[in-house]
Amino acid sequence: MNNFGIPVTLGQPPDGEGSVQVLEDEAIVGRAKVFAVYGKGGIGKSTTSSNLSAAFSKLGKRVLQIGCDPKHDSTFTLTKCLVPTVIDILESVQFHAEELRPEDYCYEGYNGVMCVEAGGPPAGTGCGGYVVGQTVKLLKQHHLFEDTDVVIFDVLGDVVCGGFATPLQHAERALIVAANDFDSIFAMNRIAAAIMAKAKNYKVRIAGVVANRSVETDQIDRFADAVGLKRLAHLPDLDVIRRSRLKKCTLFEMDTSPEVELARAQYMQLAAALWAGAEPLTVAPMRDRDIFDFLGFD
Amino acid sequence: MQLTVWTYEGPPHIGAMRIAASMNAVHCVLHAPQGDTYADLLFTMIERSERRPPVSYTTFKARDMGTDTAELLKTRVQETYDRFRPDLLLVGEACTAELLQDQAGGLAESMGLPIPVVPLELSAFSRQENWGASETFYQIVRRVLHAQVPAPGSAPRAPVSERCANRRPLANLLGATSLGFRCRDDVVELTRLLDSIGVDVNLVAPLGATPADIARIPEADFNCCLYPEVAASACGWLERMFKQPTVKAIPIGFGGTRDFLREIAALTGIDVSAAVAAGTSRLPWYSRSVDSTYLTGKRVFIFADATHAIAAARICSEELGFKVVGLGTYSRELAREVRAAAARYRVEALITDDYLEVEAQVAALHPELVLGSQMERHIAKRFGVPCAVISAPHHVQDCPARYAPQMGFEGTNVIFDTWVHPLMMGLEEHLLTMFRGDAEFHDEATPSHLHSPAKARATTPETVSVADSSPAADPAPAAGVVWSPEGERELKKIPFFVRGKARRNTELFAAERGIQTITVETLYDAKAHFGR
Amino acid sequence: MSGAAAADATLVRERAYPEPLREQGQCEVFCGLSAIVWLHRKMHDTFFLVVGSRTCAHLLQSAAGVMIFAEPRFATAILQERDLAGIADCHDELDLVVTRLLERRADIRTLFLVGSCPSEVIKLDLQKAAERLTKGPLGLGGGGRVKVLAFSGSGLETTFTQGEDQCVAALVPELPRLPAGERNLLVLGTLADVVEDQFRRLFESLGIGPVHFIPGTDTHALPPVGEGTIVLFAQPFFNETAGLLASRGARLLNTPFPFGVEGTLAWLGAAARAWGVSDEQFERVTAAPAERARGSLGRYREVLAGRRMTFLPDSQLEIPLARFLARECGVELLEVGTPYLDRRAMQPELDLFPAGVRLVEGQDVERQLDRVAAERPDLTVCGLGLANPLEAQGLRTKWAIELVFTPIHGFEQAADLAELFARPLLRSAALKV
Repeated sequence: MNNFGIPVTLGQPPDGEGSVQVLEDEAIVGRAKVFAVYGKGGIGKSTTSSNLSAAFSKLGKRVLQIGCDPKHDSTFTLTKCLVPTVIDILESVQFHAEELRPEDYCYEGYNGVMCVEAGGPPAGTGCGGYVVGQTVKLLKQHHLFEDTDVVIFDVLGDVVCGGFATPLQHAERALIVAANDFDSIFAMNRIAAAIMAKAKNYKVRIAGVVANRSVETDQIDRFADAVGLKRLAHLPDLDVIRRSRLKKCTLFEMDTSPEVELARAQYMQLAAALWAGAEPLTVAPMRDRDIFDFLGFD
Repeated sequence: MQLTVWTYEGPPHIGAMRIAASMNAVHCVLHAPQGDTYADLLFTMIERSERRPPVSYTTFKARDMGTDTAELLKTRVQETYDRFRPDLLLVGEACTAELLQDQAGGLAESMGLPIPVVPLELSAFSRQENWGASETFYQIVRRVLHAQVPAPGSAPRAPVSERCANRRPLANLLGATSLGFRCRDDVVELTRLLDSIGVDVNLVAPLGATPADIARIPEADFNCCLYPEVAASACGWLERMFKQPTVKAIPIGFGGTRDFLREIAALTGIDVSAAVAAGTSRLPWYSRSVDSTYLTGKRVFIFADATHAIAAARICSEELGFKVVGLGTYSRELAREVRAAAARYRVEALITDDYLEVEAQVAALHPELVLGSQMERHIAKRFGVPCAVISAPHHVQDCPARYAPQMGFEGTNVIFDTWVHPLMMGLEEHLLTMFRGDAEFHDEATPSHLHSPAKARATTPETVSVADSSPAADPAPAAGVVWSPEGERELKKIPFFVRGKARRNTELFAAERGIQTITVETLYDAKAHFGR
Repeated sequence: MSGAAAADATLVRERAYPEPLREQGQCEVFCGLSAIVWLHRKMHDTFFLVVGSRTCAHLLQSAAGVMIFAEPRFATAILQERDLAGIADCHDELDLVVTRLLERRADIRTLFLVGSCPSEVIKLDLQKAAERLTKGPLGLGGGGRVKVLAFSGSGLETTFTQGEDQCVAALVPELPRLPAGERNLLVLGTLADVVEDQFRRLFESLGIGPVHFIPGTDTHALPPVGEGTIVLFAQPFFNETAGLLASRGARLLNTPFPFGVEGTLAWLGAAARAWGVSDEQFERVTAAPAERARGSLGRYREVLAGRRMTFLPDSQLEIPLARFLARECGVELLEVGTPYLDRRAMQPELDLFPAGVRLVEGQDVERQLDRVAAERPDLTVCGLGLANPLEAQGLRTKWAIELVFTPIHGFEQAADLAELFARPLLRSAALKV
């Protein structure tokens, strides 16, 4: 420990009495907890992400939600509109990213949640993944991961190329959203494989599954047991959730009802669990052929 | 790919080096291939630094690529710590190392050194030098001060006027760096200026600061962001975290210095009217004096870093009576401020880092004065236009031995002299042409300080350095001595700036020995006899 | 390779010169790209396009210094995020850049695509690009006027002057074949025009010819090479080019380098013997200039004799220059560092080297500076990144890069060469502050 009160680096064991050693953890050094939300297209990732963001904000955390989908519809329930995307803003300065400032593409939404939409590729270049990669770089350069407590990446359903996996280079925990049906569990298996591959070189680990839009969770649970996943939350197929999307707001702004309370409670406990630190899971995804045989036939 | 002839800024790791070189007790380790050490000469030669920049490099080569470059980095980090014992270590990557993805910063952090290790992510393929400096300074400030940030919900800081009710206010001067334009002298001038209004300087950073000094930043009542390219990011963070106000006015120029003082007055409650009125600036009087009349409406083209460009435009327009016909910057991060300034002068801002675009604009505008970096000086020289350097990138001659700030009231004196002088020489030229027919004035005379525009247009750029001296300039040889054709041809191979002396010495040598025809051999015998 | 070639070329005489100390650590040397700064001045019809990063562009302008006045015949195509991400096809981008470049510069007849550290790491095949562009509309193969060649100046592979080796090696395949039965002399290494002319006159007087200097000023008038070619190295750093010339049948002469009287006599002598010039004629031609050079060295020998000198590694010229200073100026050598010791090329120099000198190959700059601080040489030859800091410690220095840019070869420049080392010592004695 040096003699002018500067806390030292991670990994240093405490050096005994008399020192004002600060035991560092990511949050104290000012690095946010970063989560990446994946799942088959249309499964409810954006719903999950935006309600989760709202839940974290209710816990008193500063939140940044980043939509990584050319459809740029991740954050509209928080901002009540489709905000300009990063790619739109870049086009307005002829792609000179150095001219941009955070306020150009980062908007404040419900309860102080900050929202960014990466957007899609400009016509003719066709690489959405590249846009996601560039967006993440921009956010880093503008220190947006440092001045916040929670970052949530809402990533499009089919991870077709390296660019869409960029959030995994920065996330600590990945969540997979699935329904209790063949298609989304099949997709979940492939996504899990991609995440485990990234886990070899990066710190990302799978936190678990969010069962969405499902009355039952038996297939999800069976699959989870078989591969080593854990179910973290269960959102039944509630009409009120569908209506909240149409009303362009999160569940936390809807008039209360037993169903709204149930859903809110699920998101709050998920947020709390993630903040406390979901234990990293070692997941062994199945081969396509195996999962094909595994699911359903009961 | 961007075709680049000359680059205004270096890559971002140069910015990191500038911060390390500015500070004390800080060392930087760069993961970089062999050859990147060229950057050391920028510090030792342009600034005549007496010490090597505190930077160590891995200088990996092809054979290292076959083994573990990450191990090489860790070795260098450990060696560096053991040898130099800095109080804080910066670890970054040059462009090539970034491609290797060794994650240098993370590796160094995991080594458990007993000092703070600040990893730098420098994005070499999308950012440049000033951003690198800004990012490095920000990361150091954040790292050192993080533990001191008041917890949310704690009692807010009292407003400055209240804090300073019974004592002299305390200010930090932020942003001065190594290889910054005149930072060394600006800091001295501003310290004096602030003292004259009853404000003390808590510290200057990064120039001359140690990590222990950085830890004292919050003790000051406010921050002066002197060079936004470098310090804006850190000042913004200090505002958000410590609620430390930032004085944003840049004290370059008479109006700029007054605005700076007034902003401090508004913040602290100090009465600065006396300082503002008195000022030791001669600029207002010199500008008003009758010999300055000819300066009216002189067309000026300005291209520099944003801070100096914006300040220069105001000075030219409001304090020297010039007309701003072009304004631009290579500092894209501050493009919007430059655009706003350009609008005030009804010109369209030129935001570019392409030297050829700047050259094209100068050619199109035919200005009478060019104010810019060394690149613009070169453009102006080629076109035969008077010029002055007002910003980085600059050369060794722009780091004068004498005290020559740009900021404060003394800065206005320096600026008046520097910017008006090239035009005054132009006045002399004007007078010379007025007296063209006069027997006493020779109308072939070219201005001594300018590379003659006529000559530059006549010869191709490649042959400029070996241009034949005009026959009229060579005096007749001493009596009895004649040059052989081969001797003359050989003489012409000697660089023009020593040719006259070589000719004279050879003729003298020949005359002394009774040699009548000077051959190639005679030439070399003479050379051997006289030495260099 | 012919028998005659084998006799001179590669027999390394076993000499009891101790193996150099090999150090590995931080190297304070330029990369091969810096050779572009003098190569483009020498070859008047060339353009050097580095394919690399902003670091490369910045290096070139930092090394080129005041040459900024003219629009230079070198530039960098800076790789950007889009190129690295594969969004933009690097070869398409390169074609665009080259087209734009050549349209501006009608005087360019040879374009060198120069590889850098980043282009090597991403495995950008510039050789292929060069072939394609030469066949394209702007190139010689496609009706245009430009020859496009490629070489690497990357710091990963080349140290400083080795950049020139790579560039000239890229020219070798373009050299026409020397017809059987003919012979010529090829002098390898960039020399100032005035020095070239001096050597031309000497070779002519010796009856040696035709003589060609490579690199020369016209890249479309390249000398022929074949079994009748004798190669004389004016500079020591041509490992790669030497091999290529040898495989074309040329005979490589291993001699000391033409620095100082002794070196120049040995160098010219080797050529003369290989050509069959009589000893009498050789003596006749070289006596006067050699004598003149010896005489003019006198005043500098007074200043330099007994002075202790250390060379930090830089250009590979360290060993021959140190040899000259020791043998003809009386200098006491403490340490001579070289980035790379080419045994084949240096053996004749090492044969003349004084005993007991600490020879170091490679560099660990911190340890080397520790030795300099401990031994306090009277003069340290080093790069510009180190010179001022050493001067601030009271140590006199000679900045090494001047040795690459100033004419120093041959008889007429022997005294000039000595003066470069004497000047800092004279200045130091003159200043009273």
